[in-house]
Amino acid sequence: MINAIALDDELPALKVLENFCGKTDLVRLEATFIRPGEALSYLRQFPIDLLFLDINMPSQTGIEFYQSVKPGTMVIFTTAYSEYAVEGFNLNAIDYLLKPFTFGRFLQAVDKAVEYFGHRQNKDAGYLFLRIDYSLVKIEIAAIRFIEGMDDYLKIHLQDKPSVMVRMTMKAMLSQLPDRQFIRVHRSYIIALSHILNIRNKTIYLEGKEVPIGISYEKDILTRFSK
Amino acid sequence: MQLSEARLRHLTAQIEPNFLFNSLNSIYALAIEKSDQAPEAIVQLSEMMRYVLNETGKEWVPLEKEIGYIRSYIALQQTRFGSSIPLNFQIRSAAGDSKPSLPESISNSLSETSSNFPIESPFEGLKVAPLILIPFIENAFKHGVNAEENSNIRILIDINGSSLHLLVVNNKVTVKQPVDSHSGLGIGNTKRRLQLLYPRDHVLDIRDNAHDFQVSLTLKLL
Repeated sequence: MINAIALDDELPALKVLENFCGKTDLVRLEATFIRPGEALSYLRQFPIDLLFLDINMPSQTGIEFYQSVKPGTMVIFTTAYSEYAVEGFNLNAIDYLLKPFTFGRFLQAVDKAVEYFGHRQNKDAGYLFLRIDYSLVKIEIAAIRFIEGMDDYLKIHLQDKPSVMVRMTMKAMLSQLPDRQFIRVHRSYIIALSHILNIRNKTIYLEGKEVPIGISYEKDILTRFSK
Repeated sequence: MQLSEARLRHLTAQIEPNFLFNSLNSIYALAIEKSDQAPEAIVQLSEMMRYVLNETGKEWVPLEKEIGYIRSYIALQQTRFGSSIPLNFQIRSAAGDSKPSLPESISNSLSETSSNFPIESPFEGLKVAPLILIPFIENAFKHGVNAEENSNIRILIDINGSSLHLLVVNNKVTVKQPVDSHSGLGIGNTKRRLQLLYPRDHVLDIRDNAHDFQVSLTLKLL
């Protein structure tokens, strides 16, 4: 779960965000503000992962506000003006929501934040945060034995734990995993190097599991192991 | 078809996109909360759009329609900003004939239903040039709304016989101008229209003070 605050000079806009955040476990809306000054002093006291920022506010624009907060804080801009969306792109915003927006569109933006957050987290912490239904599930990277592709889903096989199904592509999964610890060996398999017992005749043996090596992956595997 | 297209262009020139979409978002919030205010807010916005589409091409319109627009506009602004912006809005009428006076007042709470005009309007028979009062009220919201500062907006419409007095006062606050700040009618344009339409029948006094902005307009109505 990532935590967030929202800033908008109009109360009804904050009510929409409160409502939508309440419908998902992906994000916890800690506080909402109609005054930038109050939001800023809150941010100085509490660490926050994600900001929902209205762009058009009287004292300062959301863009100006964002420039005054701690770098690295994620932001989703909300605006009633389509003109602004383009302007803010160089700010590395996660997304822009044009008011009024649907719950589906909101979830899409929050998903992007969750994914970005996951990327950043696993770099330093050794965990993956994966969206499963409406929750964020924390998975210890070291516990992953191998990952199996099944149509639109991936089945993550874990050490000493039940496996987990997640809706994402092999490619997206690979991008979230540390390169040195995982290798794709087949169209449908990603394997943790540390869990390999041995490799024989184009088959990789894990404890209680044999994984075939795909033809197009042979070369890559060979270069990895010849190092 | 072509005619309504032209009117639609007219509409976008007069209802600022900023106001329109933020009002829609406020109504959206009310709908999500299943608030009883939602239907009312939709009617208010509809009435504003209908007024701009159907009436503003005319030379003269019933005063109650212009005032209806103002009521809806203010009610929607209150929905957007709630109690964070102190607002006092009053319509007073002491009709020249024997009709009883009908004081109306909104102060920070939305209790009045603006969609139903009284059957016997105190403004009956009075006519006004369309959009002649509205720009001054829009101006007060455009430059007078900031919850971090000492915002205060006062609007008084006083009708006495065929004489109308409009007083609009707003405290000056910081407002970062949105991109479409040049849309809407503007005060300059309205001054010219007053000179054209009410050459000898209006007194306009605008005071641009250090802390507040005051507009006092007296109109002799038809």
